[in-house]
Amino acid sequence: MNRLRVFIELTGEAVIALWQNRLRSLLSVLGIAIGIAAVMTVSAVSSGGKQFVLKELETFGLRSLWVFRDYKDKDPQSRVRDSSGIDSRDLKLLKGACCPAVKRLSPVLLAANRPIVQNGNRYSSAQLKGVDANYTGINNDRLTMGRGFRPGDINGRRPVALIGETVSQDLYPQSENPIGRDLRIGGRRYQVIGVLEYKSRDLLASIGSDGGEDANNRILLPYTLVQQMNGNQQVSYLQAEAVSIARAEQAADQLRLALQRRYRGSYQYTKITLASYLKTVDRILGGITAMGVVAASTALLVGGIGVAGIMSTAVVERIREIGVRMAIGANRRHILFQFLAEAVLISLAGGIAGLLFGLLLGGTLDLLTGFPLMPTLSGVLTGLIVSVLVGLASGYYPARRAADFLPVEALRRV
Amino acid sequence: MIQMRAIHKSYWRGGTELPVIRGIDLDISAGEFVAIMGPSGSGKSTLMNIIGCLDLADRGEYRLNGERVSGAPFSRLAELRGQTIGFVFQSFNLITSRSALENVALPLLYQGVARDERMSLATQALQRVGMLDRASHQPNQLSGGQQQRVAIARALVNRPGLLIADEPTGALDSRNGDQVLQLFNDLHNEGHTLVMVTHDPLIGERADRLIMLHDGRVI
Ligand SMILES: Nc1ncnc2c1ncn2[C@@H]1O[C@H](COP(=O)(O)OP(=O)(O)OP(=O)(O)O)[C@@H](O)[C@H]1O
Ligand SMILES: [Mg+2]
Repeated sequence: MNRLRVFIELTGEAVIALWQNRLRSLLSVLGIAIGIAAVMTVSAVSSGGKQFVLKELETFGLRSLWVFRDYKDKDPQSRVRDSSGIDSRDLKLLKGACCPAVKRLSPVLLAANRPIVQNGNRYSSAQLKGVDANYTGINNDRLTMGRGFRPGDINGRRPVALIGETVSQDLYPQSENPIGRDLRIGGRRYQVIGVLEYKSRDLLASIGSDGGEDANNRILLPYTLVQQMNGNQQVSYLQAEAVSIARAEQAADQLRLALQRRYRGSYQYTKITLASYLKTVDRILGGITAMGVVAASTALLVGGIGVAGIMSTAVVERIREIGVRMAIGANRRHILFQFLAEAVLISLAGGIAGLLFGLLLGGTLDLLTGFPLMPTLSGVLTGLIVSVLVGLASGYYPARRAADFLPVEALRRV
Repeated sequence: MIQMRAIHKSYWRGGTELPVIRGIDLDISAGEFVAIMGPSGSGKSTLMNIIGCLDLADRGEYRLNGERVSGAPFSRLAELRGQTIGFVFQSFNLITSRSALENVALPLLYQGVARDERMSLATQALQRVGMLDRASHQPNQLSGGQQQRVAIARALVNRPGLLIADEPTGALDSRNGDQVLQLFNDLHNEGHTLVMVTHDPLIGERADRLIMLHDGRVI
């Protein structure tokens, strides 16, 4: 009990010593703080970055995949050169037993020409897509008003349309509810049955589509009507949802193989899965994290060397005091402990300051960019533990030196 | 209280041995006041440091209260310094950044004494040396004689049986020196064992016993 009290009191002695040299202590605290803040930021960026990308990908449905003809294939027969290699008559087959990893599937047809889209004298530059009733579910599209497609709309070739946010603004006055209103596409009349929810992210909007597409400037139509417009049975590409993220690649391959078999190898097919982007994201973030960790560790190392330097100076300056303390009853462990405590207190203070600084920085970035930079609890704990370890490591050698003096040797120094 | 047999101590300088203590036998009983004199460089301080467990002899046996000091582990030496021995230096050796009271209380910290008790014991010790009114002064706000009295209070605070003083008046003018000597005299009369190095023959006469050192030997 008494022994424990000695070490508690010695921690107090360490605090007093640090306070008496507060400017110098503050400088070394700063060194550690910078290092810890750097480590924190790196770990927050890597975890926040992953969350950010996941959120981004989620708006498109993480299990989404696309299958389309690979136009680089060597087509031996010129008659099929223009074909998309997918036909609406293939759909029944593809939705069947060939492809158990596929949960649901929608054909996507792009209009061959760009027909004029208008409501009276208001015009829209929207992109037209022909899809079936599965599409909005696969694509993680939600509706702010109205309803989605039903199988009857598709099979019955009903002239109905789902429109994006931008289309709604372009064609209808703000005060008007577009549901049930008409719009004209290439002179033909369609009825708006639903408005698609705004998709805030268009960073990845081009994935799997025909480049530069604005997700909010879309009009979805029953694909059967777009086929009529185009005058053939072709499907531009398939969009599907796998039963799980893990089986997304497999699902895409099942569709490709089924198509290749059906056309006896006349076409090659290619695939895109969001799951594969996840791996890429992981790899890129891993690389960024590794570089950041090296940089942050260097900052921390410099901070630690700073503490070691300060502690060595303190030992040299206070060598006589060490001798006095020994002469009045301090043993080696007491001296070692006091100097180690000083080093650990400096780096712990630096660690806490660094964490607070990191939190502040992360919070600010989060507010400014919406990029979530919140550090994890384990990150915070790691930061504190690391700072204690840095203190121990950088304080040990100077403290050991102080403790190893014979009292006479220490007292002889001036 | 102190038994020394054939104590030897050398310093090495540039590969040559410089013998400083060359076979000293010394017995000091409890309650004695022993003065040690001798020319400069004769080894007085070296001997005092060995007696005070601040330094170790190379050879010979040193027993303190019957306990073998030669060969004791460092932690035991620290205990002896903290509990059995009070050391007073020529140059006071107060910690400059702490008040008189804190300096006096510091030895108790290493004995695990609680703060309140440390302060009350330190106050008593300061009172004993007549420095209570300067308790909150920093050492640099005190005269040499006052600093030495604070240092004596620090040596007393653990109630050691043995007081060791290496030229305690060496850095003081005669008036301050006399006060400090009077204090040591009183402490001896109260029953402390006292070993003191001095250059002052008058002090030598006041002591129970005078030991003359020459070239590392008792003569
Ligand atoms: N650390 C050391 N290294 C080398 N020689 C030393 C050391 N300390 C003391 N000496 C030498 O040992 C001898 C005795 O020194 P010591 O300090 O014991 O003498 P002293 O009798 O106390 O002298 P003074 O009256 O001047 O204080 C001296 O010759 C001194 O030079
Ligand atoms: Mg001397």
